Amino acid sequence: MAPADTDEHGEPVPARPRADSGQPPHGLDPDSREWLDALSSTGERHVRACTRLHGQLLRIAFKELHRRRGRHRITGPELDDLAHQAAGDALLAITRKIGGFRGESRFTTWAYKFVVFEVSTKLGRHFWRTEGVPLDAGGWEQLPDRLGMDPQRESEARELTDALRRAVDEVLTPHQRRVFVALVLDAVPLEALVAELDTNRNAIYKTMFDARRKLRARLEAQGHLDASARGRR
Amino acid sequence: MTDTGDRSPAGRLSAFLATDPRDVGCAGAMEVLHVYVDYVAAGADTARFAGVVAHLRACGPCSDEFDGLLAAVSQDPWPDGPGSAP
Repeated sequence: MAPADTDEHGEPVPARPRADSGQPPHGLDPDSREWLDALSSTGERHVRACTRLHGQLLRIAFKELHRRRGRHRITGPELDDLAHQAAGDALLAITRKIGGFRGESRFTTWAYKFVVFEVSTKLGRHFWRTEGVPLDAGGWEQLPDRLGMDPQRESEARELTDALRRAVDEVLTPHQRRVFVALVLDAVPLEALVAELDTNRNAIYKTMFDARRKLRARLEAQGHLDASARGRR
Repeated sequence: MTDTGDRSPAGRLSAFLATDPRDVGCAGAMEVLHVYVDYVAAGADTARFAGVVAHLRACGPCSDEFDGLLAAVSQDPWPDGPGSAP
C-alpha cells in the first residue's frame, strides 16, 4: 500500500493532526486504514469489525438523540428502537459505500456522518407520522418573535410582517408558498417536510433560497428593506 | 439565518431573507461535512470551505448535523480501531 501520509501533491503531512497543529487533516491515519482493511475483509475479521462499528454507531445515535432531546418527545423503548434502527441503517450504508471513502477525513468521522444523518431523517419522519404537517397559513402572529424582532418596536414589526405576507402571496409560486408556510410559519422540521413532499433536503432548501431572494427583492423594491445594506453584510 | 446582532425588525427580516452566493446548498455541504468537521476539530485552516460555512450559517438542519458530527468526534477523539475490541 502506498504511503498515505502525503497530500495530493505528494507532500508529507501529519496523518493524525493534533488540535493545536493548525494542519489540515490530510492522509489516512492508521486507525482509518485498519477500519478499511477490516471492513473490506471477509469472515470473522469482517464480522468483528462490523460488530465493533455498530457499537460505536449505536453510541453516537443515542448521544445524538440526547443532544436533540428538546426537539422530540421520544423516550423509552421507542427511543431505543430509533437508535438501533439508525445504527443498523448507517452500518448498512457504510458497508455498501465503503468504496467511496476517499480518505479525506478520519474513517470514523465519515462513518459517524451516516448515523447522524440517519437520526435526523428518522426524527423528521417520526414528526411527520405523529405530528403531521399542517400546510396552512398559520403562524404569522408569531413570526416577529420567531425572527427575534425587538418587541419594543411592535408597530414596525407588524408593518414589515404585513408587507412580507403580501409578498408571499404575490411573488411566490404555489410550491414556494407551501414550503415557506410550512418551514417558517408552522415551524415544521425540514426533514418532516421532505417526507411529506417525498423530495430531498437540497430541493427544499433551493426552493427556500429562491423564495428568499424573491421576497427580498420585492421588499427592497417597495422600500421596506434597504438594498444598500446588502453589500455591507 | 445569519445573526448580525441587529434586533430591529428590518434588520432581523433582512438577515432572514439574506442569501449568500457562495452557499453550496445542502447536498454540497453534506458531501464534504466529514472533511470540514475534521478540519474544524483539528483547528486547521478552513478557508477552502467558504461555501460550506455560508451554507451552515443559513441552513438550520445542516448546521444541526454539523454540530452533531462535531460533538460525536469531539467526545470520541480517537476511538479504538476495529482490532481493539474488548
